[in-house]
Amino acid sequence: MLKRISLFLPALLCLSVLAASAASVRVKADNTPMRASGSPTATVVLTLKAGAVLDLLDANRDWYKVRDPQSKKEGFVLVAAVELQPGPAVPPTGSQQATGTAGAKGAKPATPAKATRPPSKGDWTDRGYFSVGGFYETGVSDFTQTQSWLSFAETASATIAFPAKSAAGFDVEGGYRIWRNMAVGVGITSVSRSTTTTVTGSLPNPLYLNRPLTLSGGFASSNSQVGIHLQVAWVVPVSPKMNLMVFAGPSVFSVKQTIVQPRGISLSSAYPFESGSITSASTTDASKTAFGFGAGADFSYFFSKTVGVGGLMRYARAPVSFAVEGQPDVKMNAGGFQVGAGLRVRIPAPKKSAPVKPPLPPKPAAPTPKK
Amino acid sequence: MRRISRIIPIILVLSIGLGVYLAAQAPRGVGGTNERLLAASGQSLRDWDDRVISMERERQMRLRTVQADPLVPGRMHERLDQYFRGVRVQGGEVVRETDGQMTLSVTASVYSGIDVDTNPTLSPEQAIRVYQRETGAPADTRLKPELVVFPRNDNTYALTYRLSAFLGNEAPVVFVNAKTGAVEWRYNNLKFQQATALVGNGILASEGLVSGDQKKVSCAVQGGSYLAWDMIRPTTFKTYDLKGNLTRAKDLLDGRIPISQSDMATNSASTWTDPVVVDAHTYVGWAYDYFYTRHGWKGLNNQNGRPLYVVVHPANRSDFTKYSAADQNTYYMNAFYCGQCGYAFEDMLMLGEGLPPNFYATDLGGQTVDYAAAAFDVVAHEYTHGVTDYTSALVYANESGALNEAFSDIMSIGAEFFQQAAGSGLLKAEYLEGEDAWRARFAGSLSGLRSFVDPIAYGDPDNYSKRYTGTSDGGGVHTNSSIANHAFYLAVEGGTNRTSGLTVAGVGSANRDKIEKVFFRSFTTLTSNATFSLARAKTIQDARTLYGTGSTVETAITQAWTAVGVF
Repeated sequence: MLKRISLFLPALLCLSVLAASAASVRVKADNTPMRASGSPTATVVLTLKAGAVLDLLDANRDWYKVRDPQSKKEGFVLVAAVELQPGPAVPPTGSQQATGTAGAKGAKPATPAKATRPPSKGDWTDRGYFSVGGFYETGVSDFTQTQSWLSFAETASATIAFPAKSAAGFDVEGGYRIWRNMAVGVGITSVSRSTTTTVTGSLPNPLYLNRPLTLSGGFASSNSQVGIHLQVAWVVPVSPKMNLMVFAGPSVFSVKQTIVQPRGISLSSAYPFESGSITSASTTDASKTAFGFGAGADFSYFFSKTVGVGGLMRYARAPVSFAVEGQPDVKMNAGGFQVGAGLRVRIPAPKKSAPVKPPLPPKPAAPTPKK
Repeated sequence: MRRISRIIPIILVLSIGLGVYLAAQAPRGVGGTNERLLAASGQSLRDWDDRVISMERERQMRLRTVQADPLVPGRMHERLDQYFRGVRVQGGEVVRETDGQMTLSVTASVYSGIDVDTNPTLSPEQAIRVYQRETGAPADTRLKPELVVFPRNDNTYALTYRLSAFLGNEAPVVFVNAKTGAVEWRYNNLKFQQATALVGNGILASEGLVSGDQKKVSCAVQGGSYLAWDMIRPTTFKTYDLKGNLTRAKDLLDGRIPISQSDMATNSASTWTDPVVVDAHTYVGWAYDYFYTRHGWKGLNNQNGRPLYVVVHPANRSDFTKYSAADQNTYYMNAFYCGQCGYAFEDMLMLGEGLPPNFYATDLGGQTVDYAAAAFDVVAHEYTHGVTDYTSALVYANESGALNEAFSDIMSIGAEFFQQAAGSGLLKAEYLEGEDAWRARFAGSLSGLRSFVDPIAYGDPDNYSKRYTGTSDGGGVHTNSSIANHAFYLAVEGGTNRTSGLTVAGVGSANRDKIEKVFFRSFTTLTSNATFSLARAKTIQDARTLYGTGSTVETAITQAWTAVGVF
């Protein structure tokens, strides 16, 4: 982590964006002056010794604004007079003066590397990924089917409510990195659920006009959905062991749904006809392909170079409608909100093709003053 | 049918010979006695329970029917007939209300001091000849003479044959003395009103009198056409369209010819085109629904066991002037229920055709008379006669006849409020009988045949003290019924009786169903010769049973009977 931060410091410098405590500089030579302002003629606040480490506060093209951690004095030093190093200035043990001369032995001055491309935080280097797991889906597929028909010289109507029901499913995902942290992939999800539909409606009273009976009842129905989710993913390796991936893309569902056939509801009501109930429902399992959209995120933790576990969230939705002869179309949605977990496999890139970043600058040794 | 007589241009009088007037009061004089009472508590109940059991043991009481109470679970109503030396005693009955092994009430009409020789001198065939001579019944009239002990009004008894038949315009019941051949009593047992489903417009809509009067017709499909045959309700109703063939209508009703499916009303389109069939067929079903839903009563006999055959278009309006006054009265201006009338003793309900244009009845200031089927309460009224026939079988003369009529009126009003919105006007529920078919002809004339609210305005008594005591109309069965009708109204809505000036705090229209239930329970468990007084006692007792002693229902019913002068 630390190493990575040092890599992109030059880029940050170019942008003149620095965190005050994020970095430090090491004085290259004795008697380097720290001035009150970024001008060669400004008052010398402090005279520094070679090897002195100062907190880096700000920067412009030629001057660093620095602070001596011991005297807490702030001032400006020429960029050329110091070398950057990671981490805050660590005051050497012992009685290092502001003008102290003690420096790390053998520390070589180095100019900050000028990268041709600023390396991003969390560059992802794997060739691709693969995962398999299970999920729990909160369905968005609640819908109603309405039917009406002539009964005892009036219109009967029934609304058959197929409730949204959560269900468990399983998924397989895979992707291939195509550019930097971007991958294209595909996920396949499969979920099926059984629900009890409820039927409500009104049934004409066989004996009286405009005195409908309340209708109630229910029957079992099932819904199964296989979804294919094409996805463009962005993978952020938040640490060597952890990857965060966000993805989005079109989803295609193959939906199989129980629907009630035209005039498929058998009713019973008996004198004196205060209510009616469903005795049976004649149903078919209709199949339809639905197109929609999905998006989600995956967080993986790897035990080794390749294998880990992860968690996933996805929301996918695709409208679908079934035609029922002589009755209004049945409209529903496939998909839902999925939360899942499973096995994660990352496919590392071959070693030779690994460097996608500029050569690392020399790694400065940590200032470990010796007594 | 009441007020049968005043019609322009003809005047008709349906003469009903009443041999005997059964007084409501306790019999006077020497000889036998008749005890009519309700024993529902205390020593009286224990005594009567023991007495009935002992009479059963001696075969003087024999169980006729057992009826589960549709309103109070676990209760049973056993109806027993009194016998004397193996011969049934006319009007001798007990209705025993039980709960498990316990007797809760005894409604009794028991005759004692009977002393007749039970060996007839006349043969049944000879009795039939007396009947034919008495009534003019044709020789092929089917008659089943039943030997009964007949209690005379002077508290003596006679061994008689009881014979009855439907004869086109009446259904005379005649008691022929089995020793002498004399006619002991005769009354008319024809219960007059007053007198799939497909959808179809009702009569009033088809006449442009109301809009939106569309109904569902429960029917059967056969050979691509629809039959007026209710296949949906748990019992059978069939409506027959006689297409104005009065001779055939009479033959069907008196059972001379069997009922044929070819007479059943049919329709080829998916909308029923004949509004008379629509209303008649639908309204019979509506009456069934009322009894089922309100009282738990299934069909006529509570077992869905008796199909009801409804006859419409018995005659053509254009033929009105061709017929006798009796036929005009019966088949144009009336509706009736005729139990076990048809060829196979089917229960039949006839709905009259109404008057042709330019004819109107002179009753109540002048009334147009539409198809009887136009009025739901008329249909429900006749339907209720069927229920009565299978329960208390209130004898259709004098006080029991008035109670029979009142029960039909009360249930029909209950059914009307059950099926139609309250309000005044066509297709609205109000306390008038038959107002949708018998409609005011002139400004100031009245609609409907009877009023529950103001019987006096309709020429009927509102108080027992003003009851009709003559012999016409079975002893005023359609007149004196208003006394009980008004009591029902007062118990529901409250108000003041015009004659007594007594005020009743009713239960309110929201609780009308409670009063309906009490009257239903009582009137289906009365003895066949019940009096107003017994009806009062029974309804008060049933109010206690259903709603508790001291309940507002009991209070309202007690006050109502008192207000109309019945004690």
